[in-house]
Amino acid sequence: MKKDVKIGQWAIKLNLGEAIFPLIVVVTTALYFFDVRDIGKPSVNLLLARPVILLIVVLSMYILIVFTLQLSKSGKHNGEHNVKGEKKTEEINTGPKWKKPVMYFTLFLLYLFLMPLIGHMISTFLFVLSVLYLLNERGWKKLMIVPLITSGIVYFVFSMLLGVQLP
Amino acid sequence: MEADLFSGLGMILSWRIFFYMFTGVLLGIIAGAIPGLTGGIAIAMFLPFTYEMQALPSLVFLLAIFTGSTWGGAVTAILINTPGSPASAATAFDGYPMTQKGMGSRALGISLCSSALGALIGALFLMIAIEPLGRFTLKFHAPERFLIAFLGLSIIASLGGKNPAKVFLAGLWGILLGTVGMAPTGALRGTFGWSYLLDGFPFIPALIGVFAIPEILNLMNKRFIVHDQVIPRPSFREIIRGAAKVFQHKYLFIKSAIIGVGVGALPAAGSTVATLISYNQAYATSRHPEKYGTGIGEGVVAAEAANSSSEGGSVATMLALGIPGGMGTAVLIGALIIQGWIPGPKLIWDHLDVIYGVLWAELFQAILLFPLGLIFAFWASKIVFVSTRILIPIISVTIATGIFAFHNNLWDVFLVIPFGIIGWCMKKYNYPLIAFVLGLILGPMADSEIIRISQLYAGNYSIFLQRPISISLIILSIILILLPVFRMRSSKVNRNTE
Repeated sequence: MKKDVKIGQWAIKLNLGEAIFPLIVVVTTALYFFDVRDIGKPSVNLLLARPVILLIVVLSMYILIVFTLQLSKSGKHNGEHNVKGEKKTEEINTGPKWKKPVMYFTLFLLYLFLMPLIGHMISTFLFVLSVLYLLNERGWKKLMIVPLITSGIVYFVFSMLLGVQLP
Repeated sequence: MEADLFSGLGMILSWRIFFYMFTGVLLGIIAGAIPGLTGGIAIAMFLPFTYEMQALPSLVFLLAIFTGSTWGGAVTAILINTPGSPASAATAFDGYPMTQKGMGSRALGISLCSSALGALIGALFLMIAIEPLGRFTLKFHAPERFLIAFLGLSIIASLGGKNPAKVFLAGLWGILLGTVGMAPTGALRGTFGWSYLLDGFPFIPALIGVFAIPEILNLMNKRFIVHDQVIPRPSFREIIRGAAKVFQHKYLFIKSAIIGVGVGALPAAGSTVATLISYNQAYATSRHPEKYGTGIGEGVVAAEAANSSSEGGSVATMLALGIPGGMGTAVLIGALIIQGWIPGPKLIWDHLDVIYGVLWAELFQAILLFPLGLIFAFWASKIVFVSTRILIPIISVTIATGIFAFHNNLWDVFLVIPFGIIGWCMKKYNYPLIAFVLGLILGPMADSEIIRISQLYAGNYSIFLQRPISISLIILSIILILLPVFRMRSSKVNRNTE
């Protein structure tokens, strides 16, 4: 997520990760802006939204420039090998740190898609099982018992005690 | 006022309410003690139980979990040096060395007693302060109510965030999303013709997605429990002896509790900051500072008293202004919204009798914490060794089902995923989640108030400068925003002179 660009004696450190949140904000704000473009009586209905949108644009531009493009003079003391070392640790960290959360979100999404199809109990069983597997649980006794108890208890509590109609 | 005070007491004197207090405190202690399960997540997990309840039992139950969780973390902090929740970190500084010296039970007693008494002081503070606070906020009219959202954001900017720009971006985005849906004038904004968004962004899924999912993901990379550790069996007599020891440090206790209430009242500071400040204060003013960190009772008193009393302060801010201090109070505001209460300055006055009932319950919970904690201390060894691996899917499933149960709507649960991803990114790049949630809560209020102002005063915005409270709120916000800028400049000057 970090890249270096050198222009003369200036080094620009590209920190793309920092851009994620401002970009999400800018995109959603733009969507909002286009949705309310044709609203009636904008002087009343957008009284708060308009300055807020303006401030959001200004702030996200500021953050995009200041945090993603970390401008620095390529000095002698923090020279080449320092940057290289940083890159190496980044590479080691990014692999496992990104993989598990992404897998977790995928499983979560799958769980929600399956729920109306195969019912709450079975999908919960499968979800708990797969998340446990994802977290390196390999003992088959635990892999069976924990999902079974969890789906049973959750179903009992919500369906029987709270009277929720689960799919 | 006194009529409300006593009708509040009458309201909670029933077996049902006592049952909720009892289970709530116990659940809170257990959740607090399990490393990785914080009080905030526990409140979110048990929120579905309150959908069908009335306002009073719902608040009593959730606040009981809150109270219990403030002490629960101390058990593991003292016995195995792994704080059950971040707020108990300072308890481990002196609590664990005491265990190593064989005085673990005494440390437990000290922490339990100072925690219960701290919660009691927090509850008493609420009892005394809530009526004047309500009276004061009654003077808040449309301009002031509009400014509260920005004041909250400025407090967070000056306290919590390393970078004010990031705080404000997160907060303003929350405000913008808060205005999605139907405006008070009937106009539709940001819905894309999707009727699901007509009532605005569903608050509970967004809140839980943004708060709970990053914490769950955070757990994935952590391994709390070292399995070869054995929890020593506590001794009843030693716990009682420890509890009695708190009374030898009266002044320290009172000072710590006051720090707890004060810091707890500030948004974004919360109990973790309160305990650290209190511990440092105790250390700095002690006659024998060299003993701190080696297993001294005073250290535990300072940490736990501040930890538990901070609840009172944060609940005061939440009730009086609708500003949440952390995840726990944010979920509590969610519970209030479910009850049909509108968070903000009018809340106390609209529901004073119920609030007094809740505060009486807070008082009883503080007292209840002591015996329940005593019982728990003997069971702790069986409960705290839950591995985080099992915890992650269980929390996820409970939260997903709980959100589904809210409206019987699967869309609500789907919404958790994008907000979870966003919350994860925000946490990774130092955007305070609380700022976003604050915007989401107070955005709709600020929006409807400013529309009301424009209609009432026909676009004459000098009204903001004609009201004394409104002017002081503006000045306070400006000072708070400028504070970090000055701090940055002065630290730069220091660096240059070095």
